[in-house]
Amino acid sequence: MAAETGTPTTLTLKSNDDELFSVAESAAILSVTIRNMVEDGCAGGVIPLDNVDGKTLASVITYMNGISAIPADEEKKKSYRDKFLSDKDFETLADMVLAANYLNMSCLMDAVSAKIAQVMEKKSVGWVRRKFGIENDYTPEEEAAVKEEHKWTFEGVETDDDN
Amino acid sequence: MYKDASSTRRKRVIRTDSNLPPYKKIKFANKSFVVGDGVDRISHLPVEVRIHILSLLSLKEAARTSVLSFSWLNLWKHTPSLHFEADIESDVSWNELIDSAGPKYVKMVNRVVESHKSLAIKEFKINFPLDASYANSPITRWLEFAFSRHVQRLELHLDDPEFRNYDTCSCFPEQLLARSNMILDFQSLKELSFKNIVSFVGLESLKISAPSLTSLRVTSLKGVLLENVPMLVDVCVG
Repeated sequence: MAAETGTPTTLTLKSNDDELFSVAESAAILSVTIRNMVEDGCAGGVIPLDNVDGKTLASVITYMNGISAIPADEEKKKSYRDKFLSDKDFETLADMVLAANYLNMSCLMDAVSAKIAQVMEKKSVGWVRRKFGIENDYTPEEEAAVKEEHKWTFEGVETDDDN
Repeated sequence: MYKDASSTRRKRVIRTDSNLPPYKKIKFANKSFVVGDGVDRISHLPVEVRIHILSLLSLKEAARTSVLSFSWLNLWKHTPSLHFEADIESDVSWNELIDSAGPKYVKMVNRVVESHKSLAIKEFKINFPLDASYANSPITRWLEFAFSRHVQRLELHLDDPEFRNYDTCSCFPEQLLARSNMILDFQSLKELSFKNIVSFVGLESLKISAPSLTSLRVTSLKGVLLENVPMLVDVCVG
């Protein structure tokens, strides 16, 4: 939703698989990494983003455009973020959190991290391992020792593994 | 700084699931979240990203991830937010609270404070009805910890309004005040909230200097002298 009025500055971003994207500077500078490049005058040509692939960058740009079109209204921004993330699978969320970290976009970073944290909430250790494919690489003795050390974290906890 | 334990260890493939408690059968209600090929992506996220995710869980849940695998061991000790929630059963008796739940809470906070690795603490929140007998040693130590790690949001709520009414109040730790010559200099503090801490024992005035402080919530301002608080916009007393 780039503004049609005036002549907004447009930046060209390049993903690590050589896709090129045009994006309004006003939306792109949500990324502190990009903003710093703009401020340092390094954004004249194409901005290479070596840690983000085209698919993820397309998604991030959709977010940048969407969120920057919303006026300063934290409620509306939050509901946009919730909706934007609602249909993303874990693979996509993992790509997005990496991109948000690299691009230094704290609002996207917080939203995606919160979504991932939500999945872990009120779940048993076994459930989290299975859900995320985490291999338990402790020996039984080591695991017992770690559990003993973290015994307090199991007290008064009700897990809800069914959902 | 933080060293990933897993990178220095030989990978072992020992399944210990049989030693785990019998968990209920898993149902994936939210299909979109199923990890497709069983590849462990979350453990391969950079350490700073995983710490950020852990900082959004409750402290207990964040700490429990240590049990997942080596690459999660003690990662939670790097989170910048420490919110010590009180797990009090609603039917706990007054005696139980004083004799058992209180000491347990104090022990838990002590243990975390002693082993926490993050050098910067954004949030340090104590929420438990602790009476004045705790003021000097544990609470002083917690506050020293919080200030030494440049705490930004400090909450010391020693009441429990939903739980019961009780008359005892805690005092701001004398030891801490004595050591700081009655002037508390909080360079990084942005938000401060004290509940049920009313008497500043033996003090005519407590000077608080906090150049970044924007929000102050206290039960009583008696004896508090605010100095150098140019950013303060939000004050709530009572």
